[in-house]
Amino acid sequence: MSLLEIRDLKVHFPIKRGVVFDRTIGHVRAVDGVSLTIERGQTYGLVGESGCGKTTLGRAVLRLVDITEGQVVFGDRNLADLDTETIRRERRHLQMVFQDPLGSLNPRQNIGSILLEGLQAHGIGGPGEEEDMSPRERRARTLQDQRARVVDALERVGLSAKALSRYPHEFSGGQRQRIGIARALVLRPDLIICDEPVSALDVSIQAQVLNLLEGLQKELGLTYLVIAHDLAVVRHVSDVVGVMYLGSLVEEASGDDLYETPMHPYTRSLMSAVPVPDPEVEDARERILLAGDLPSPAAPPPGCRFHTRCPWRQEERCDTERPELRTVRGTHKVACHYAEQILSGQIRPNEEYAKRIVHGTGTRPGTGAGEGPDTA
Amino acid sequence: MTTPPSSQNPAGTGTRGGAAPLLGRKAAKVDRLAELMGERGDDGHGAGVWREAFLRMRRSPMAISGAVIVTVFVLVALFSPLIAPYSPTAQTWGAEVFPNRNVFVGPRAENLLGLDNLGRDQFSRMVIGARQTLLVGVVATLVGFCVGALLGGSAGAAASLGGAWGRRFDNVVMRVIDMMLALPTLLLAVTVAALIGPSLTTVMIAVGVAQIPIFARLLRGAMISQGSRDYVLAAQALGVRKRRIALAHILPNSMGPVIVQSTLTLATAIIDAAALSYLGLGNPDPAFPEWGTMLADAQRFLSSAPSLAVYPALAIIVTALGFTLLGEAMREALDPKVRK
Amino acid sequence: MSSSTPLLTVDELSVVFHRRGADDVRAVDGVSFTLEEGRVTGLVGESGCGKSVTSLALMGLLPSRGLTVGGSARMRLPEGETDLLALSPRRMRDLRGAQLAMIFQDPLSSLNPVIPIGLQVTEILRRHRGLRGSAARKEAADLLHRVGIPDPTRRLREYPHQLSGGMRQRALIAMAVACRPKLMIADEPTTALDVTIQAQILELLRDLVVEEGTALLMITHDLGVVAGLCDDINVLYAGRAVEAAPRSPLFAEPTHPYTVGLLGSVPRLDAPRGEPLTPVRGSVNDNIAWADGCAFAPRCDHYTMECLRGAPELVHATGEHAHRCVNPVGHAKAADRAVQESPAAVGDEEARG
Repeated sequence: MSLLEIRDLKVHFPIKRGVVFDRTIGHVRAVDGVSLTIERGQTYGLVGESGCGKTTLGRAVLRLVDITEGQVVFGDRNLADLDTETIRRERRHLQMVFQDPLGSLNPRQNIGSILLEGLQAHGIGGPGEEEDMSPRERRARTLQDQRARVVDALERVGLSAKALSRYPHEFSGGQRQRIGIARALVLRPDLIICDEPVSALDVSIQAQVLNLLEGLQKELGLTYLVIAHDLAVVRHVSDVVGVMYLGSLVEEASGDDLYETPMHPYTRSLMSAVPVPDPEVEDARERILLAGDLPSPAAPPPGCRFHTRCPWRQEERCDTERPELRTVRGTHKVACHYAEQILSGQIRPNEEYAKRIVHGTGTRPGTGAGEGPDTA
Repeated sequence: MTTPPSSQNPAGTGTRGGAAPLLGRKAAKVDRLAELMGERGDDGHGAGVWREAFLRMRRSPMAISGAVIVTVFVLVALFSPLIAPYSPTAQTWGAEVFPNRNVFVGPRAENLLGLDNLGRDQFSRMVIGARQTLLVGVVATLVGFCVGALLGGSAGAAASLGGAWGRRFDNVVMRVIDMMLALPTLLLAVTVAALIGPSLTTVMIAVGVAQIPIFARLLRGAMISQGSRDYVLAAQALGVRKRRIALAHILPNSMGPVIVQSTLTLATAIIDAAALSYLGLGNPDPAFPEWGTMLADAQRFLSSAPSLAVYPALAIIVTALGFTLLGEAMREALDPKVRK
Repeated sequence: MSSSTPLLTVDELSVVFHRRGADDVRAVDGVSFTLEEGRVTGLVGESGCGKSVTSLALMGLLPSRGLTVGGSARMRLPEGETDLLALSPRRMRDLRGAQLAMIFQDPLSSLNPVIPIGLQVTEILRRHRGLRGSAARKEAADLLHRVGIPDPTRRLREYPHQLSGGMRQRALIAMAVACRPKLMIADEPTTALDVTIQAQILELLRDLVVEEGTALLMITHDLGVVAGLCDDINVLYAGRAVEAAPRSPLFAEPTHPYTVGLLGSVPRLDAPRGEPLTPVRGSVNDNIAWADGCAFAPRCDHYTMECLRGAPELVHATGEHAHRCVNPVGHAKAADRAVQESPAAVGDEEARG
């Protein structure tokens, strides 16, 4: 059985106006009908650009934002239905690692207190109920046990017990992110949601943290939901990759599948925009330059959310009918009416968009070999 | 910062030469690197935000002058009966002063600041007055701080953690605060005085109540901005109870500006109290002179004996300045933009 | 490209910040490179390597007090070769916008929020090109069109907050190219943007360089961006260039261990899942002073005793490929490389927590 199953999840934030009485004048559809499944021991990578709702989705799983509609089935319970106290208790099984390593640590708490907090909130550690001892002894034993757990988590992320009495600002960015990971780890959760775990870090530190996350997964059999804007990072860590656009999932496949045959036009353009640190690849790369900007999630376009920018857009159907995420082959799912036809080349990019596709020449523009690539 | 690596290095001690020249060379270079890296000292171990602010304030001239003024003031106020050479009420030299004939006695050996219009020692009255002034300032600020923090804190916590109901609660509380803000201090003081008669308590309540909205708005604002920070979200994700998040996370991080404000408020409270005493709403008991009352009494003789007004006025200004300097220095030291 | 002297020759640029009651900080510590028309030179490095300070020094935008700028930056100007670092602030103001232009990372804070885009563009045209009234407005609209902003006449009347991030960066680029500067400095121009928007902006910059013959100094931390856009690349570390080369040899045969580490740190989109990353260990906090040796030595797997005897020189290994390393990758003596350093030897960043 899968560890986490999200069914048709919707998170809409009301837009309020008014001086005395707030009137709801509309909704921002941050997440607008997403379904996905995460298997135990797997890493699910969610990728998308800013404003696509990926962070909201991660927070909705933990019920840190209110769910408008849909189900989040974790184990055998629907988290969307639980009352606040039950969901608070449930959070020991689902943890989160945040983007900003400094901002997510309370500057006035030392590391020891930060790491102990989760254990104390859930009363984890210490002698069992059946053991007979004085309350004082029980407290002492509990604290001792919790301390041992904290030190264990710290050592797992590559820090030593010496860090316990220090404060977040005394550490470097990479170390702070390790502390953030240790905080999640100390509760021995089943699922860790990593929201942009490396985007605030320097390049060389990013790799250290990614390696750490992978190492921990192997050691402890963790399940990750990795949310990031960087497709390369997501592909590196994930077994299954989901691509989000404007509140909905447009494609889902194994990382290698997705890279080999991206089927959704958005995935193709996204992938074509990611630079690769290799001049030869860069020169040969085809770039699909998308027109315009992300539409407002408060007023998403009807039909396919991507049709306003899609180079392969077809008349009628794309503008009116919202495509479902459907399985195309194997585990590859895509939400596009014409995915197969686009893949086989039956449908070609529209005239006006064709010139926005820059084909790699294999040679440098300007160093010979004819004209530079033309753009709009 | 650096752990000497030699202890972890199998080739660390004494195996150089002979069997393992390579390891020996390696040990040498590791030692050299450790030496170069170890030159940096271990700085500020486990220093919290407040401790760091204190260290920074120790170097600021503004903070030092403020602290000196405040310390002198507080010491004088605390030990005033020991410092004052005479009783503030004893009209020992009553026969030497004739206000209606413009005969006053200026500073002299026995009376450092001269005599007042009734022949009492001005210096003793000033010293005893310091205690009254401190009392008014501290109590009024405490009233404003406690009630304001309670209102603002609960509103801020409700707004940032309480969901829709919390926001409604916050809205109600803040409208009440707005109403208080619309009430002028003087009007309030006159009303209170009319209710319970002019006294020190009247002044303290009036000045204190006037500060409530300032503290409430400040704390609420700070708590709401802290409430949207990532570490609060992290605590929620951790499964920490909301009450604990509010008390142990949001509140301590929001207290900085409020504490700074309270030193600044002490200064304005002293000035406000003086103003109210000046208007005759203060303590009428001559055994407890207050700087504001003294100033009011002195104005009748402003043309013939201006020094009688100058001393209390100067004392009020300098004390207020001291608290303001200290408050501003503290605000600067706690400013995250200044901090590394 | 073929002209005898480069457009800009930066020689041993250094910027030292003086702090009250603390040691001086050598933010830039002897950086040299050249810029040529129609070419893109990249400065790559992580935070704190001095790349942004370098650009600010060239633009004369550093504060005048509390620091010392050393070295020279000679630029070929119509009136002859001039050292940018020695110019008066007044002369520098005239050059900025006209001959030199800069594009910043954060487009929103680089634009004045209360003035319409149009006015901000025409102001530059008025100041440097003497255009007035409708001529300036028409030119401004042309510029916006040139950088790919649709419906430019309407956009001219809009305020910065009404534009999207990508549009703002385009507007900023339009302002930078308003006077056809010979030299443009782009400081992380795409870092704040989404990847699809980044692709658009990079394409635009590439066009400008090719069509206008502008020299572009590209400052970034993103090796992917560098690989696609830059002709010559300088890798900076702790205020010094540790490796300088044209892009193909740099990516094909990196010689400095730091460059190798950086390349090993970046997950590549075209690599299969789970291909291990080989990052540099530790963080910049571990650096030693250049005066004592190679600043990178504490994070280097291959440092030798020689690395700890003073700063290594920038050596030209082959042609245009230079590195600042006494024990470069690919040239190491087999004996020394054979001994695998235990990671604990220096203590990983984390071991010191």
